Amino acid sequence: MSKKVLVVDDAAFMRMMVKDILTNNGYEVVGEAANGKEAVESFKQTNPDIVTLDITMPEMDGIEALKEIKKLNGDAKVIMCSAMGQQAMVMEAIKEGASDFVVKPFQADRVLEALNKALG
Amino acid sequence: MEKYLTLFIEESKENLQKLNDEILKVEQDPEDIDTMNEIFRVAHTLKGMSGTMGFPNMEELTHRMENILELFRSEQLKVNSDTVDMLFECLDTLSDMVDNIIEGEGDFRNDSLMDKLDKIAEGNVEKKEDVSKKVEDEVAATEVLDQYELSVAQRAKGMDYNTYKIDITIASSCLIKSARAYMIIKRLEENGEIIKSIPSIEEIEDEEFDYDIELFYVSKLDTEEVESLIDKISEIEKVSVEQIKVKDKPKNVKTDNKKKNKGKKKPKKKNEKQVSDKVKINQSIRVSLDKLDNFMNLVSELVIHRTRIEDISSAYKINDLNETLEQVNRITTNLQDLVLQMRMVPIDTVFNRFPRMVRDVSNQLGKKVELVIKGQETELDRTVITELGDPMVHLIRNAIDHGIETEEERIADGKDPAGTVKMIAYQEGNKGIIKIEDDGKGIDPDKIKEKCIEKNIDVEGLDDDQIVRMIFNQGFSTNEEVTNLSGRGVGMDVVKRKISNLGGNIDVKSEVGKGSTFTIELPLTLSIIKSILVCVDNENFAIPLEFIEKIIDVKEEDIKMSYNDEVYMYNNEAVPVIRLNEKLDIKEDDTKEKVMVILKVGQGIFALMVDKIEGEKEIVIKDLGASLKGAGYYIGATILGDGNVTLILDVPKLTT
Repeated sequence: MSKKVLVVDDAAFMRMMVKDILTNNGYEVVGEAANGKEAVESFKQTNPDIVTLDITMPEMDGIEALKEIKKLNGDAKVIMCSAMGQQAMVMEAIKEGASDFVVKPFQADRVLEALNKALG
Repeated sequence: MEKYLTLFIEESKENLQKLNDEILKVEQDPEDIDTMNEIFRVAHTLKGMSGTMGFPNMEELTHRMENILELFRSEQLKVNSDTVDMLFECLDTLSDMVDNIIEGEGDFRNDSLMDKLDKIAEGNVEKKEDVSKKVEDEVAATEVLDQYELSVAQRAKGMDYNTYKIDITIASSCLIKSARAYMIIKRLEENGEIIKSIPSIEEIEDEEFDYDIELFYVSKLDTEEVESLIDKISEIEKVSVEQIKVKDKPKNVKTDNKKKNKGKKKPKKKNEKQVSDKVKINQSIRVSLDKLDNFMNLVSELVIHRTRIEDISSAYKINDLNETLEQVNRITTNLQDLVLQMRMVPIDTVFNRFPRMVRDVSNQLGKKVELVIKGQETELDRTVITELGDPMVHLIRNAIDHGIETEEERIADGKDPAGTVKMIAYQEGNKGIIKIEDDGKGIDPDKIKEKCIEKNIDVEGLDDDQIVRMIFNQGFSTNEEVTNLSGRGVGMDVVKRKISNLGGNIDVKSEVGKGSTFTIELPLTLSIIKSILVCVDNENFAIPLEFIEKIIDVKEEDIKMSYNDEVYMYNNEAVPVIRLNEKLDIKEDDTKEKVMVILKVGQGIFALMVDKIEGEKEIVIKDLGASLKGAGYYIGATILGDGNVTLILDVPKLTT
């Protein structure tokens, strides 16, 4: 069975890109969210196998969302999506239990590598 | 070979300095194996270098020195002040050789020194056998781990943990490699303990590493499990996990505890330092100073012409030109900053010679002195750094010779038998500050006063602080007993002059029985400065902005007489007035409206009277040339935008 993914990013364009990469490679995107709050809600409803989570977002940022998600399910697998220069944030995310991170601009194989390794 | 000579000389000097430092360290702590190994390594490098360059005498001397070091390392020879003296003698001879090589005369032989070294070496040969066995055992293990790390591994082994050496190469495409490395470390630490990491964890977090990480890891997991743990992380190019054998605890369990504590901090630092040195070398290239100076000059010329174009553009009001000019402006400013930064050198290059000097001088005088150095990473312009050496030597020598008391005197005064001399450097605004503090007997104002009266210097009405400052006056030395170290009459006045030639200032504070503090203020950079242009009788002069406290419009009537001197009331204080036209012996403008430039030089406030202010300008200091140097009250000249040459005033000299 294909793995269920929740894609979180405030830019619709980015979500579409990630979605395309994932669906073309046998993942099922079960939900999308544009900010941290939506992400946490969507996580509760869809119960995905893995989440791709953008760091900088309005309402609730990726780090906060990660903490909330980890509270809901300590084993939740979350891949952080960051831009260059967000080193400190990425470090914090790892401390909070993120499984991996990818740096924008995305390369399809990097995203897939991260997902495969985290799920494998 | 010729083309390598400069590099050879430079590196030899660096290596000799390093040996100096490290040997001092070993003298303090003879059990510091890391430092000992480092000394050995550096000496070995030096030997190899000199052999390759074809300096056989230098090679031979380093070789004999290595023999002695080997005896230290195998504990057949005690590290004490005699043997360390001997090593220093070697280093001095070696650095003399390097000096000779610079002069083009090659190295020279020093048979007596080599004989001495041989004698020490031979005297210890018989004992060699029994110790060497013990050494053999330890070397294998200490190759990779130091005492503390080893003891952790040994304890772990006793509890069924395995020790691994893990080499990881992060993919070169990885954009945030510190975070990647951090992830690896975190994963591993969830299942064990990392006992050593090269580069250190701190460096990894600061992203100060290439793509390779070497870890020593203690865990209950087997090799495969460790591998798969790391394999779950993306962006890793290569992993190798290798179990390493740890020998059982050595028999001497007692010393183990002591070494553990000691080892915990020191060796780690050592590793960090080594690695960061390596990284720095990778990222920098050596450029000859000539080229850098030349670059600096070209940038300065560019700045001059930029100002010229600015003047033309504003005179003709050409808008199109203005826009481009703004860009040019921005770029030249960046260029300036860059070249100034390139010329900055850490003050360590001056400071690093002092531990050795303090040791020698205090031994010679039979005083106990501890040297504390802080802020050696503070950066100053290269020119300032090179000129700073002599005055600093003088101040430090004075502090030990005149300041710090003998051990008996100190005990009698209820002080710590060992005196302390502190050298502290830091940056404050656009100034570099160096403080030299001692906790010695301080400067006695009464003695200075006596001496002043003896020399017919007027000290009437001066407070103690001001009297103490009289030591900067010409021909001053208070020590009744002239030693061969200091007190030869060429004293603090030379120091002061040297510092003010650099555009800096020196001040002293002292408390009898408690000690003295000398504070040197220096400009961070020399060549391009902000200045105010002032005008006297239609002549322009530049005053460096750093001295200017305030500019006030005044009239002749504002100047009052106090005793026989002209003063100006500034902040309710009578400040001495200096008329620039009188000082420079030029005519005065006949207007009654004058401008008072309030100058702050060290602690002193002065009012410099000029005709008018022309504005603020960034100026490039040009040397006046040998024939004009020291003439008049000028530190240099500058070329203004309109092509006119303007002299830059030497404010400290004007106000003394």
